[in-house]
Parts: sequence; C-alpha cells; structure tokens
Amino acid sequence: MQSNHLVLTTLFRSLSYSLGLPLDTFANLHRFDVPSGCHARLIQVHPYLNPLQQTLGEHTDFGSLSILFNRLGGLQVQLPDSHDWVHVRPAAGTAIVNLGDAMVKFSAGILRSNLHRVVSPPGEQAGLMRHSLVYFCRPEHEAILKRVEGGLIDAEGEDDGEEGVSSREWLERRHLARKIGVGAVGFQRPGDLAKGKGTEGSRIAWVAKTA
Amino acid sequence: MANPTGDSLIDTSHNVGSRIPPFPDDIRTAPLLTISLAKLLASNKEEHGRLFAASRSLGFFYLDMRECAEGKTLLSRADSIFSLMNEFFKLPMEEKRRYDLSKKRSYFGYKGKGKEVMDDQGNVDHNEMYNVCQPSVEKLSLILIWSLTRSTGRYPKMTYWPSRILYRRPSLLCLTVPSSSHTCRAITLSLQRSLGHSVIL
Repeated sequence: MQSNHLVLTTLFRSLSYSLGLPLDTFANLHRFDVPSGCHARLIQVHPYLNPLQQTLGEHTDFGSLSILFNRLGGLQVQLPDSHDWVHVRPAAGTAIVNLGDAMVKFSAGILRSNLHRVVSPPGEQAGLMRHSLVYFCRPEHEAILKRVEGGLIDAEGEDDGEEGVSSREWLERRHLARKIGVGAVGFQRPGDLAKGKGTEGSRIAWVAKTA
Repeated sequence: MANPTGDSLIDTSHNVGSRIPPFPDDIRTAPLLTISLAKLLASNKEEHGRLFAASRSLGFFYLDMRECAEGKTLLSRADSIFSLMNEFFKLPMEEKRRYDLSKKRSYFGYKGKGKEVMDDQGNVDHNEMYNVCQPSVEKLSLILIWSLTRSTGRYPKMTYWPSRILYRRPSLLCLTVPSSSHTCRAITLSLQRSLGHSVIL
C-alpha cells in the first residue's frame, strides 16, 4: 500500500473503532482507486515584512483528513473555548493532522473540524521562505455528506433529515467561493465568502472530563 | 536523514548548525496531543482513545511516525519532496505557468499568487501552489522530477518496471538523461531517496 494511504486507513479504522462502527466504515468512503478530491499540495509563501500578515485566512478544511508536513511555524488554530488564536509548533518526526468537514458530517458532529489559519512564522523564522507539503484526503466524489448509521452516532439524537450533498458538490461550493473571476459562484464582493462556509460553529467542542 | 536544502523532518536535533532559526519558546502554542502511528498500527486501545479524544476536542494532533518502518518511510519521502519542491518553485515563472490549468477550469496544476481571496474583505493570497491529484507520495516525486527535468530542456527517458513484473524484486526505475549535469544528478539522487528504488543512469 502506498505510504500515505496506509496512514489514512489506520486513522480511519481507529476512529471507526472508537465510534463503535464497523472498522472499514470510513475507509469505504475513501477508497483509493475511486475518483475523489484527494490531492497533494505544495505551497511556497514568500516572507512578509509585516509579522501579523495572514497568508491564509481562517477556515475549516473541506474534506476528511489533512496531513501536513512543515518545518516553519505560521499555522494557528482557534481554541474552541476561548476563541484565542495560538500557534502550532512544528515537531520533527511528526506530521500535523487535522479533521475536516466531512468527518463532522459523517459523525453527526461528534468529531471536530476546527478553524485554522496561516500567518507569518514567529520570531526569526519570519524572514524565511516558507514551504509546506499537505495531503488532503477527501471522500469519494459521490459519497453523501451525512451521518453514517451505527455506534455512538445513533445516540446523537434522531437524524435531522438533512438530505446531505455529495462530496463533489461540497468541495465545489467551498472552493469556488474563494475564487476570483468565476462569476456568481465565486467571490465578487465583501461578504461573499459566506457562500463557502464550512462546519465551523456547528458544535461546541467536547472537552475531556478530568478525574 | 540530512537534507541539503535545510532541516529534515526526521529528527536531526543532534545536528550542529541548523539553518532554520528555532521556533520561539516564549509564545503560546496549541496543546496538541501526540499520537503514535506505531501504537495505532499495533491496535493499542489506549492510543485509539487518545486519538478519539484529540479528534473530538480540537480536531488537530501530531502524528508521530518515528517508531515504525512505515512512518519512517513516509517521513523520508516527504523530506525528498521538500528538496524537489524547493527546486520547482525556483523555476522561471514562464516555466511554472506551463502547469497552470486554471483556464481549463481544473483544480490541479500550478497556481500563482493572487488567484484566491484570503478573507471576506477580498484581500488576495500571496501563495504559490502546485496541486497534484490523488497521488501517492511516491508518484508525487515522479511528477516533480518530470517537471524539473523538462525545464532543463533535457527530457529523460524513463522506464519503470513495477515489482509485480520483476517477480518479488524491488521496482526498478531507469532514468536516462542526454548528459550529466549537477541538476540532473541532484534530481536523480532525490528520486532514489524518495522512492527507495534503484535508479540506473
């Protein structure tokens, strides 16, 4: 199996296990050889003079899992309780992984897709060219983004009857809302970014109970 | 594993003279849990629980890949892609624009700066990107290699035999370039590291 696919399958199986679902539940929505929006992205950001400059505005990720390899800082997450923005320190030997909107939809909101953004790297790192490698895992194009059945998800109250859109439709809406020059589905004036809203704000984060 | 273009993703904290300034110690950082890929692969129940907790609370976590062969392989290949990426983005703009597929309304290929908005006020981004559809890390290396060697005007002849044809032998990639050069040698070494295959020049 290709190395990144192994990582994804392992994470999906673990989350399926924890949710009391058949182990292949999530993996079967992300089959490697079925068309999807999965892709790798190489990013280069030139250094900014303004240390407070944002290079990527706040958003939740469109798909299921994102695997980020980076060396410099700059990634920030918004803490769910205080809404403070804090840096994520890169750590050698690790990837930074986050969940996306699809996992919120599949799990009826049990799993979280958190707001994050990118700013200039802190301290002396701010003057460097910043490179990142991200692998975005998205569900198969025709997978419907709604709660799966079984396990802990069935305990999350009754299905609200949301029909759910396909992964393809979800990606197109969210992606195009940021694009310039694609007409009414894209960004034409301030306020238009709401057309690309994800699952942010849909659920208050779960906090582990301490002993 | 050392990387000629900068610090490695693999822990090289013992290396002297890193070229990347350290991340400051005096700023507030997010309390991400570190999840062990090796423990998940071993079906460690406690690790399943920790991943679940991270996925419910913040939705972000570190995935530590140093303690298993599969994870080390991915780290090593990501390191090689960083080298290749560095070279790709140095290409002249006219070369990078060959891979700009936006006029074909494709999500993939090269995107220059200022093509997307960053916030609701309409401020545009300052990022260059290269999106590659549904690749494995292994295929991504090949795609970058092709882009770079094409830019040198030296089209390599590439012949690839997957292991299923070679019957239990490792996959073999033959890369023939018209003449040897520093760029081609660097690219070839990166390819060899990233794919873990034998490369015959």
